[in-house]
Amino acid sequence: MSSTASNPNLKSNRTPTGVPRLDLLLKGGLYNGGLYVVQGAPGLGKTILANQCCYAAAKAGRPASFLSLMAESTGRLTSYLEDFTFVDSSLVGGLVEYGSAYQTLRDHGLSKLLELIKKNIIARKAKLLVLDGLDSVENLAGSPAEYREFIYSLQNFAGLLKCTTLLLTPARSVEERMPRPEQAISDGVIELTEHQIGPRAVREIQILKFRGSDFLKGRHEIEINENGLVVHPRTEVQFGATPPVRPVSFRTRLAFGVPAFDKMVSGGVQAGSMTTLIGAPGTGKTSLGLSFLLEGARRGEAGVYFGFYESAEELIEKAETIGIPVREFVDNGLIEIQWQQSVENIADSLAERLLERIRARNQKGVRVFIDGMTGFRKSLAYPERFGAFVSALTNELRNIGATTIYSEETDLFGSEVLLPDRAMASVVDNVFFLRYVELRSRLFRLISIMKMRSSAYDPHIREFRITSNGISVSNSFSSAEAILSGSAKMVNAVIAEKEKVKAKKKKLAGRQK
Amino acid sequence: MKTTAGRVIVVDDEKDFADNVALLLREEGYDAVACGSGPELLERMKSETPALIILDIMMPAMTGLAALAELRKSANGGAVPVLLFSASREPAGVEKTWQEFLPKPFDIDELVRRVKRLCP
Repeated sequence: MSSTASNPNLKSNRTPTGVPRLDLLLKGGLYNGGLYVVQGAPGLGKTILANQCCYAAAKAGRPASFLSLMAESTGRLTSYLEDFTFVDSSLVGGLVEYGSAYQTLRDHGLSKLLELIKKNIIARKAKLLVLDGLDSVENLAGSPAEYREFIYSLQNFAGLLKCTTLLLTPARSVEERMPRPEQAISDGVIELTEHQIGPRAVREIQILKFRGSDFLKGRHEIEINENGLVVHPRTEVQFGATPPVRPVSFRTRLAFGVPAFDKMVSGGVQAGSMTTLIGAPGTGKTSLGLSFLLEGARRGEAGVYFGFYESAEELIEKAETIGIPVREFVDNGLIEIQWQQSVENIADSLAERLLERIRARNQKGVRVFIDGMTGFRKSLAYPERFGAFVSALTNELRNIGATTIYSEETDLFGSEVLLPDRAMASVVDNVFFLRYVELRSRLFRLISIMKMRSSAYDPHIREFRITSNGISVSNSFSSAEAILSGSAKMVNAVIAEKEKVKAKKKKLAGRQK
Repeated sequence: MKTTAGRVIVVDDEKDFADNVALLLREEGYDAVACGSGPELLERMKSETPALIILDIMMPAMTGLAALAELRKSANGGAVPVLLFSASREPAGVEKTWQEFLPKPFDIDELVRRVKRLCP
């Protein structure tokens, strides 16, 4: 949750909302004394959001009043909230007060409601006021003019006392073209929406208006969990604008711990670079990625594994069987394994988690292995975001000093070598290609370097072996023909040569008899 | 002429603002009323002498300074403490006939402090 102490951008005339990353969208919290509309269909989280604001204010010593304008009892409301972590029941009745103003509104009208609200703010010295159910005010107003006047008067009064006000109201019909009175008068409008994309229900938040400050535009996914409503700003909007910073030590090479392969890549990948390992399932991408982390750990460098397929224990055991003993470094914390369950994820949430784990290491030059960029791709509600998303994530990974390897899966036996997503081409610095080749009824693994930005590399194709003693890379497979087409043929000359050698040996053996 | 103890008159052409300030001062124990213009204030002064006048400067019908000048000429307005407020700067180059100046927007707690100082 954001707070004044943790958000250096928060000016003294703005208040943290207490909603994770909402202050990021607002570029610094709500203005003290501002009047804001929070609109959205029932059940999307308006009341939760408003309550998070109340408790954040209260925890900062600023009294908050939550007034319901609906027939629902406040007891019912508070019972729904008690399981959220942001709720502190010791504050209820003190710095957080719940009340109902519905009866006053219904029986005595808008002027009496306004009088009640004013007296509540004065008496409690409230610095945050929530009115839940603004539509009740409009429905019971004698005229549109009276409704507008109510909002103006409330805005003036709350502004004078620097009491930030949130007006919660249901979503408006998309057929209404004119701005609503509360939208036009207010200092800001926050909208919560939900729509279906295939079988998936996508919940989003959008800042439609915010006087006095720039804000992150567009729709951003949200979720409701035990912490309340959590905002996941689009990664490309959060990080895309920051120019990448080359780490001071970018000329440093980070090795994989596979001697012949490290030689192929001139000692290793450059610090701060982004590398993709492309290959069919089973070609060794995870093994090579783990080797990268292991080599770093052996040199005292922190590493983060971020994967989607295997749990930590499965991964550690699998690594041990192929001679990549990471357990010791996982146990001592130098290598961290972050496994994401294969459920409906929010891509931006995954990116946040990854970046948070890297920052939490609080070390320069963290090695990162993302096992399966597909995991991010599948989490995007809008697949067309992928290019911009990865570009921004790469940007930020570089900015925080990470050297990143990620794996991408290709078809098992394809004849073309293409990056699964063309958008990645400009973003990655290095591309390593692993594939199978069938040769005389055997499957061999091959590795080659397709690209290394600003670095020399060995362009030869090499055999890549995974044994119980680890990974090894052998001599060039130059005798094979058409390797990249997926089928290897022995050239006649090589076959003839081998036959010749075989014949010689046979002759020699015959003579010796 | 009746002197109304604790009577504060708040003068501002923005009615909502004047009403709100008056309400807040009533909650602080003052007998506060709102007034929408300089002429309205001068009319009131014919029948009462407040303990304090809070006066906006920028008003359309008659500016606060003009109203203040008239007030000081009146029989009972010469000694009434006046707190001027405005979104513009404190007037300069004129005889200072007011006691306090508060720039807008102001903190309501600061207003109350000034009122208590002028009208204990």
